[in-house]
Formats: sequence, structure tokens, C-alpha cells
Amino acid sequence: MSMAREIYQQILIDHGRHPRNFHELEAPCCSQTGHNRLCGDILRVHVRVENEQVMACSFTGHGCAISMASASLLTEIVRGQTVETVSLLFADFHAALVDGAPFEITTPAHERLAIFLGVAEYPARVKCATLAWQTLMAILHNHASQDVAVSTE
Amino acid sequence: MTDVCISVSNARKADFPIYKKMSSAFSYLDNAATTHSPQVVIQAVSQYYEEVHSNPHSASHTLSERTTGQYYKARETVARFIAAPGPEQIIFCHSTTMAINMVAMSYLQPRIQAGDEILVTAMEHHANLLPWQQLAKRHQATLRVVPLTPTGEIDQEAYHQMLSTRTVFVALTHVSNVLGTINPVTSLVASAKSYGIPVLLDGAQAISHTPVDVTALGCDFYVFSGHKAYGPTGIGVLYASASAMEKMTPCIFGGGMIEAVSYTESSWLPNQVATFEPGTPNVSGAIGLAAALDYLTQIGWEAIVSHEQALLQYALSALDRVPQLQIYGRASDRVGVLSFTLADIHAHDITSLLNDQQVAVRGGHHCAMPLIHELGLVSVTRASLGVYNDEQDIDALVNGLHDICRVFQL
Repeated sequence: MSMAREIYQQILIDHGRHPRNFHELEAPCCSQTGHNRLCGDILRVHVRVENEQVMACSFTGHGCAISMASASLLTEIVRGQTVETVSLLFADFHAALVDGAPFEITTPAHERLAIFLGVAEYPARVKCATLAWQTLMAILHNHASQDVAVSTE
Repeated sequence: MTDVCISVSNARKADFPIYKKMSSAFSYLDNAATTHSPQVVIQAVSQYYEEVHSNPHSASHTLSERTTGQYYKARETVARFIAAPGPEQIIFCHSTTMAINMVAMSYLQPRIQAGDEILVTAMEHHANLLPWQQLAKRHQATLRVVPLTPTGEIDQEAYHQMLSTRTVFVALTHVSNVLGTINPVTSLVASAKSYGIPVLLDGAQAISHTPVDVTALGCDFYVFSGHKAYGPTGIGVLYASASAMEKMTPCIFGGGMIEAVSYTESSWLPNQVATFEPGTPNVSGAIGLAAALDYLTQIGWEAIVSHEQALLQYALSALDRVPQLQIYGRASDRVGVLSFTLADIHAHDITSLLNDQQVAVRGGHHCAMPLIHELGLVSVTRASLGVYNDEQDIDALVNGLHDICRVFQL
């Protein structure tokens, strides 16, 4: 089977076409827009953080199957995790896709993200797989550095 | 008929070194973006570098003289190819984009006034939209956009209604890079000229698919790029009629264009091609482009058009059999540019999966964002044909699309 076709597995198609947590969050929450200028895709990530823990996460917008599936899985994976755990997971994911670093399956979350590893072969598509993650990290870092209480827009 | 089509184009592929590098199953269908170059073009460029390469215009030594001669000869070839009155109407520049910007700055900027109107169509590439949009903004002029019909053709009634004494410039694409439509430029130019309005035709998508006669068209400017006509990148052509060139003011300054220079003042040559080509030009690009145009001339328009039209019809009927596929642009007079959507699958998913099947197509807004948005879309996938394509390429595309339907469980 070819490389790209391998990426488009059942789970990716399923999440891409039937995204989970595909809605806005009720207040209080933080939201941020991620824009992939290459293709015009726009995703908006919504997250509620309490005591350095992600209590809820959702997204809205439109994108390709890879970006939609990545966002959908993200919303499931990060729920209940601490901001630190999410940051470490993203660091591993980003290093694997962008720098080609080995991706060790150390947690169930890592295992779920492994379906995107083939995307590293397609530099133009790496941003699709990381768009929602980059957007979430922007919120979490902003939130952490400014010590902002959860806010609505 | 079918057999002839395949054998002719297979022979054609042998002219293009890219097909020796890629596997025999490779289907290049991104010709509206960039066409590959035949061996004769690559050879002309490398021969120039191996045997001639020098600086034109100074001509202090043998190689410089030869460079000047070959550069001039390339200008003659271009003039002949588009039936311009002579090489003195052919300005070489980087690209179509550069050529249009030059016309906006050199021709229209010095004379545009507040309240004036510039006319473009809804199917313009960004290259033939932004220079006019920005010029209009800077001078409190109005950019008017001629709408399209549902089949993706210029609404000619609207066009005629929008032409008026306020119109100071008309900029039209000859062929749409998204819809494939060949616009009826002869009559569109004639209508504008009846008001005395200068017209620019963007020939980027037309130049390698349909014969162009700028003299018969009567347009003031005709522009195109080398890399969409089987030539090199970085070379473009700005044809300006003699009367239009007279009204141009240089917008880029430097060596090669001047008559006399002091620290405070300069005077430049009376309007001629050199006035608009300051700096050392892209000689190898011009030579490569001339070789590409000679290659097309050698094949002949009749063979090119009949081959591409037959393949286009084959592609249209094959694509129409793919479920949930919609083609955008149904003009009767068109080239082999096929933009489509497949169900609600994102264009970039389609291009990645087709790339895996060794089918090269482009996905995105194709530098025509307003048009794509007007179609209610974010992006489309585009397959575009060239002289070397054959039915096998179309079959590979269609098989790839059927496979995508399976992956996405349509």
C-alpha cells in the first residue's frame, strides 16, 4: 500500500468526516483561531482550563481530512490532561513530524497520535496535522504566561 | 482516432527528459502552473552557457556580440509567434506578473485620475487583479469586475454595459486558469477599442494552447510567461503596440536604458524595448523561450489544438462518470484546464492521494481566490493538459479518483 494511502486509515477518515467535539464551548473558555495560509483552512480551538488541567476542549471550522481528524483526536486526547502533559505530548509529536525524531509510544495518547506519523513524508501536509495542536498550544502558553483566569472572548 | 492520439503523444513524451527521470506511469497534469521543457529548450539554454554566455548590449568583444545577436533573435522569434509587427514591440521581463505590473506602473499610473474606472473580469488570476486593484485604490479610481455566466464565461451583456467614457483601461484574461474558458477576445477588444479604451490581454494560459495574433486582435498589450509555454522560468513577455509603447514611462531604472546620466539628472532612450529592460536581461531565458516557441511551431497549431481538444473531450466524459465529481467551467470554447471537486473531500487530500498514484495535479485557490469564493468553495483540484499528455494520463487520474472514493467510503 502506498504511503499517503496508509495515512488515510479508517480512523483518520472516520474522525475527518465525523469530527468529535465539533462545536463551540460554553463559557468560560479560551478560543483561538489557527489559519493554514497554504490552503485557506481555518480551525478554531476552544478550551477550558482549571488548575492547570484541561477540563474541556472542542473545535470548529473547516479543513482537510488530516487537519479535521487531528483536531478531533486532539479534543479527545487532551481532555483531563494537565497543561504540562499536553505540552510534552505536543513536543514529541512536533519533533517526530517536523524534525523526524523517533516517536516512542509511551502513553495511550502517543499511540493514538501515531496514525499521523506518515505525514512527515509530506512536508506540505505536516501543518495540516499540527494546525489544531499549534493553536491549542498558543492558548495554553498564553494562558500560562499571563496567568489569565479562563475568559470568554 | 484513439490509437493515433496515444501514439502521437507517446512520441511527444520522448521529447521531454522529465519522462526519462520519472517512472513511465508518471502523469503530469499540472501544466497550467508550469509546463515541462523539451530537450531542445534545455539544449538551447545549456549551449548558450557553454558557448556564448556574456553580456549583451555592450558588445565590446566577440562573445558579447554573439549574446546580443542571440538575444535579438529570440525577440524576433517571439514577435513572429504572436504575429507582432516586429521585435521592437517585444519587451522581455520576468513573468506575466511582472509584465502586468509594468503596464500598470508605466502606462496607466501616469494618466489615471480619481473617478476613472478600470475593468477586469471575475475570472482574473491575482496577477491581473491586484496591480489594477491597488492602482485604483491609490488614485481613488474604481475597479469594476465583469460578472460571469453560470457556464463560466464572461457575461458579455454586462461587459458592454460596464464599458463607458469613464473606463480608462480594460484588463482581461485570454484563457481562464481555473475554468479553462477561452474568452472571445477579438470581439471584447473591439468593443473596448470602439470607446478608444486601451486593452491588456493576459495570455499566460493561452499562449501554448491557441494561436495568438496580436495584430489581428488589436490589443494594446499582450503578456505571457515562458514557463507555461514549455520554456524556462524567470522569463516573460510584454508585447506593447507601437502607440501604447509611446505612452509608457519607465518604471524601473538602471543601466542599459539611458541616453545621458549625471549625479542629478538622467535622460533615457526614447521609448523602445531597451527603455523598459534596464539591467542585464535574462538572456538564457529568452533563448530558452524562443526554442520552446520554435518547438510549438514545429508541431503546428493544428496538431496541438486537435490533440488537446480530443484529450479534453476524453477527460470531460471520463470525469463526468466519477460519482459526486463536479467540474467548474462548462464553456463551449475552452482549453484542457479541468477544475473540480469530489464530494466534500478537501482538494489537498485529493492531491496527496493522487500524488501517491503518480498523478501530479494542483489543489487550492489557484491564485483566483475571489472566483473560488464566488463558486462557494475554499479550494478546487485542477488537472491541466499539455502537448505530452495522453489518454493514459487521464485514465490514471480517473482511476486515482475512484480509489479516493473508496478510501473516503463514498
